[in-house]
Amino acid sequence: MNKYWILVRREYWEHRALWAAPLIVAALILVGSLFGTASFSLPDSVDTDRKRGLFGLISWGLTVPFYITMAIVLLFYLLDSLYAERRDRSILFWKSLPVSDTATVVSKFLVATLIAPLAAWSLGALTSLLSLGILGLRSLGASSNNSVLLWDTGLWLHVQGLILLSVLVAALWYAPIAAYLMVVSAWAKRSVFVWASLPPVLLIVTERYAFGTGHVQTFLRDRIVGFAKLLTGDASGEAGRSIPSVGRLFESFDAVHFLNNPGLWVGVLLAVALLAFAVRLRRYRDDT
Amino acid sequence: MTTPIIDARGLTKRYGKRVALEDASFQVGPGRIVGLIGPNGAGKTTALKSILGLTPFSGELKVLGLDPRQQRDRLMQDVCFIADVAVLPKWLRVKQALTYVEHVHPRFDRARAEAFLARADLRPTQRVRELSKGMVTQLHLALILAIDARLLVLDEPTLGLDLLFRRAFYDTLLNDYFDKERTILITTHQVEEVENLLTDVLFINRGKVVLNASTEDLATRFVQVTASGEQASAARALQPIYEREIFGRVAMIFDGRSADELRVFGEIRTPSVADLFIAHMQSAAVAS
Repeated sequence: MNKYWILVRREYWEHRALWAAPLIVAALILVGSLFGTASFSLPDSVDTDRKRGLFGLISWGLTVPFYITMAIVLLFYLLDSLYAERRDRSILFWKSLPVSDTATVVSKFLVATLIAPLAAWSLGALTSLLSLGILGLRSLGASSNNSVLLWDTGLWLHVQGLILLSVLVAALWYAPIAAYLMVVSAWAKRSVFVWASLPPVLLIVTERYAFGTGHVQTFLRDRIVGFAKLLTGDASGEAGRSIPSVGRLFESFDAVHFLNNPGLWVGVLLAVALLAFAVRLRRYRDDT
Repeated sequence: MTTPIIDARGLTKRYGKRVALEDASFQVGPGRIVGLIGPNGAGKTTALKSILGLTPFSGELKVLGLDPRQQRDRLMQDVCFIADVAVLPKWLRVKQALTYVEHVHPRFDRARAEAFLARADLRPTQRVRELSKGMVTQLHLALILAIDARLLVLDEPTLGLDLLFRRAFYDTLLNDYFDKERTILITTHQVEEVENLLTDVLFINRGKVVLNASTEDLATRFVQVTASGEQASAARALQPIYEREIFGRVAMIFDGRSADELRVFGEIRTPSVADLFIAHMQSAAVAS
């Protein structure tokens, strides 16, 4: 276990953005909560029920910047994951130690799909808590007839629980994309980003000109942005375009529906195959 | 010879049409320091990569009784190598390097590595990118020499280092590391530098093993005679494997002739490994 944990630490040593980026986001949110201008009074028409909704929305919204940031950080992390060691020629140093190619590839994959997102979730929840606390204290000082202040521990836990569930669900849903990026990272001799973009772009363009259809594009769009649709079990909704209202998202979140999605399991199988391929590529990849 | 550490039979490797190794067979016993010597492109690095399981090949090869193609992960527990000294990743800190190797290698002795480092002027928090080339080598060496491995492979370990450092490197290797249980395999094309520490030489040229002998055998097998005029002509009749002219006299190297037999022709001495190397490379060039 110790041996695997050191592989994770190694990734955090090399890719400082993995821990620095979410910490910066947290710092910005807290500074904003402390010094940002905000109105703490609401019209009298806003009743407690709607204030609860607002509280839930803010609890959720405060964590969103973490996931947007992590998506970008992890995209570049994955593209770099098996390429950097070849670029800086350190691969033979790593290979001189008794760490198998499989352990290396799997550790990097798990950092991207599970460990970094879970760390972002923890930090997001903590930031949300601190920020709400700060805002609550500030609203106490503000004179108002109908204060925005409302604390609902149950709702806060519920929201963070749903986010945690989404993070775990996203790990499975995005696994094939992560594994695909790792294959490109293990294979490309340079310009990893270009090589990663080329196959989907070529497929979409070729399909359009050859058949006049856009199945590949639809398929990729559903995989990349169709995540919310999957979560809420909204079969008819255009999840990619209109994000469902938070209230609805909370209510309609349906893990069973999600786990019943055959596309998910096909994706997981594809991810396993791609990871095996990345391991093979690293085994004899020889640029030195 | 007891159970060989390396047992290669018919080792062959082709890169497209180019032959890097052709039917190379050799054995390396325990407690030996073997110089794998050959000109650039002779197949030295390919041989090492095959031994270390870094490249596929055909033929039979057992290292510590294991097949490097199938059992590389197991093999790396007992084999260490330095491929090219400057390949430690730039972002790595000295203390991180120690921690990493300590966790992934069961036979790493951290105290020993720290003792090596204490002699060098290295701070634990320094990153590799802040170190001079000589310091990086010292770090790499400290890591590798603190591992209790049965086979150490060094590929051009002193390339690009100054004379003082090269001398210190080999002194450390011989005094602090080598013992009867360990085997060291060194490739270099700077023969003069290693010839005093080798117990065996393995000359390789154009993918073929052209000489495989212990250094004691070399002394009894090969004799160099320096003669001039008629004596030179008479000596030539005994078929030297190599000759060259120095200041009007002729230096000839004989294989399998006794010193007593040759003393009559002129001044005799044991040829250096460097002389023998040149002799074998040139006679191979004449033959082809």
